[in-house]
Amino acid sequence: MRQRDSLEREPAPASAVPAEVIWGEVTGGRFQVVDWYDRDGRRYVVTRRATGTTTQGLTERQRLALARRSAGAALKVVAFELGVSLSTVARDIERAMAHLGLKSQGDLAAVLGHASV
Amino acid sequence: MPASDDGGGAASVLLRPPPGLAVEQGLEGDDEVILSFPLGTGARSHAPLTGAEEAVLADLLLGYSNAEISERRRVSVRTVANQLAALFRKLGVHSRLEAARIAAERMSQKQAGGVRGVAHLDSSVAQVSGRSDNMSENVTLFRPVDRMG
Repeated sequence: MRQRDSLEREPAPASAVPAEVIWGEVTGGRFQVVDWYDRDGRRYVVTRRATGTTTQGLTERQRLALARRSAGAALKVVAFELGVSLSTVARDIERAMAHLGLKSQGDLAAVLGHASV
Repeated sequence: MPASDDGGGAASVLLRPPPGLAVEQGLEGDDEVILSFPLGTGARSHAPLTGAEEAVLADLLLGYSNAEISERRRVSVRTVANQLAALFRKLGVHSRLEAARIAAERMSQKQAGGVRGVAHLDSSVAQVSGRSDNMSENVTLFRPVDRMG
């Protein structure tokens, strides 16, 4: 699968803030996803600093549920793994997605799909 | 990878940055930041294509619909759909158009003297189109009409 490497270019010039740190802000809910789009073999995720009540961050269970769901695990599987009910895990994920600015399951998969195990 | 993402704990490891993550735009003090990462690094399987998948890909490149492929291959439409789904997963794409683009890239690289593992695909296309010297030849032979017999 190396043939797509030609589409992937070198990383952007060094930023003052490492990408991993901003990623932590995004997944922690302190930056919100505004938009995402694909171009030239890369996915671009536009994020904006969260304001107001959304700066609180996610709970531990929300993060776990979000990670498992974005990795493709079914809601009922996530619920079983975390030992909570289906409606609880659905609510966790819904609120976590709202925190991160993700508006749909498509957004969730697009932004976090490559990041989860 | 920094394990000390504040407030994350064990769960933050699960949402680790995708490989190749970079900051595109937005520096210190900026409220808007654009991140980017290469597509298809996570979801793409490295498994080789099966013979059936390569055959379906060759048909896809010729512009056949699932129903037409099913007729040509003497398999059900559901089988074609399943084989295409497996193919898309392996190529790391989400549509037949993307799959066609990847396959076309492979072939052009093969012709430029490069990549292993595409000989089968190459020959099956060449067999249908009669020639394999460039893509425009294949395009002119889009949807051949010889399949009704």
